[in-house]
Amino acid sequence: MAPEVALSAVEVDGDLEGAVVSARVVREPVREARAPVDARAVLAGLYTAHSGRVMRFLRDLLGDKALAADATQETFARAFRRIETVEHDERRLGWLFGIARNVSLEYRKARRVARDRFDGERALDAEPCRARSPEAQLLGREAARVVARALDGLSEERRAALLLRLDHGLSYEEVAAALGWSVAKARVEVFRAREVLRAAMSRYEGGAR
Amino acid sequence: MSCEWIRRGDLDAYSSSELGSDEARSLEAHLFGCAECARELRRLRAEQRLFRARAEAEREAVPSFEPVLARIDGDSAGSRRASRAGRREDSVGWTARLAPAGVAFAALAAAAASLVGIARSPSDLAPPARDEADIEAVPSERICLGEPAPAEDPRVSMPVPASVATAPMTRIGPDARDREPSGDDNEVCAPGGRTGELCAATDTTAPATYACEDTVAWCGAPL
Repeated sequence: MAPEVALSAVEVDGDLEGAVVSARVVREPVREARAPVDARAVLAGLYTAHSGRVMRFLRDLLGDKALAADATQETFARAFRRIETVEHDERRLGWLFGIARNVSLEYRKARRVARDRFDGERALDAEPCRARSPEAQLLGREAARVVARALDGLSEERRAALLLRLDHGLSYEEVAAALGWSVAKARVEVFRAREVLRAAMSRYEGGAR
Repeated sequence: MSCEWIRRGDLDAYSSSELGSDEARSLEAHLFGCAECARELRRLRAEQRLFRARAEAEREAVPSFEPVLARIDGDSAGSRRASRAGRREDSVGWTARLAPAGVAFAALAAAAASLVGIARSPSDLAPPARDEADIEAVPSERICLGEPAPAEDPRVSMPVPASVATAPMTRIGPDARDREPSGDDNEVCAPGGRTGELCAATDTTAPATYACEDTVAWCGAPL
């Protein structure tokens, strides 16, 4: 059984050449001696389970697949530094998306990309289609095109909210936590984004008929 | 949107399987008699199918974890290097820091001497020995003196205004004026090209049929 405290240092006050005036033992909570190994194992598990979704989320936010791949690595590298702050697995997905969104904002700023600019069509064209059957390929292509057009008409905030709710299935509480909002704001933003999505779907169906 | 179930967001929660079992049973009973809620539920389901179809088509293999580990290890090594570099920067001597000031002072003194006319020989304009040492201590990239001009060339030895001497060279000619943007500059593809690429993998006569079926698959019913 691991001790609850560990002797980390002895602080000495006074002249060391003379008599020791006072000394006190500094005790700190044990910080998991094998944390680096565990953190890497946890991160590897998270990466295996969620890296694809995080990368798709970043691709949708940034509109650039290569940039999204780099941002995904940065997201998980940052997650590693704070991985001990989130204990429950079910909370880690929203937490990861929150980090990813912050990374995307920084990448946008660094690349001087306009905040609301999104070239969904270009991102779509760069994406290989991996569905099994031709029908599924075409269905996925058309679905991606409709989603890209809807995302193109949304602000960055609403785009992030819509993606987290509809594409990644987060609850409103998780969306709010990931984006740093209240739950009420998350509901409103998703509702507004849904209106734009439904308009894009209606336009597609009108053109398809 | 007048129904209470929609306003409260219960339909949204139901479509995402977030509603409790008792509430779900109540809502299902309500759906039999409320056309508005039934229509809204079809819309919600259509949105979910849309994103699911997209995710299925874009399903990717998990990218390698190694770059992430390299980035993590690089971050820690980089922070150590940064702290070492910070210590080195702090230990730079004060003479090197004052060297630019010495250079500026010498230039100012030389200009003043030439204006007043008290400079009698080139040696009078030379800065003191201490300043020469300081000039040598300045990193070369901080002082852009350029190539020294040959003294015997009269064209170069003539005084040239500083603005002209430092102006960047600009190539003016037909190769610059008439340059057309290359294909690399424009990455815009014609929509028809994409459609052609898409259809090339399948029967070119079939997409319209598929698109029609896809529409039905997303929506379930007209919106």
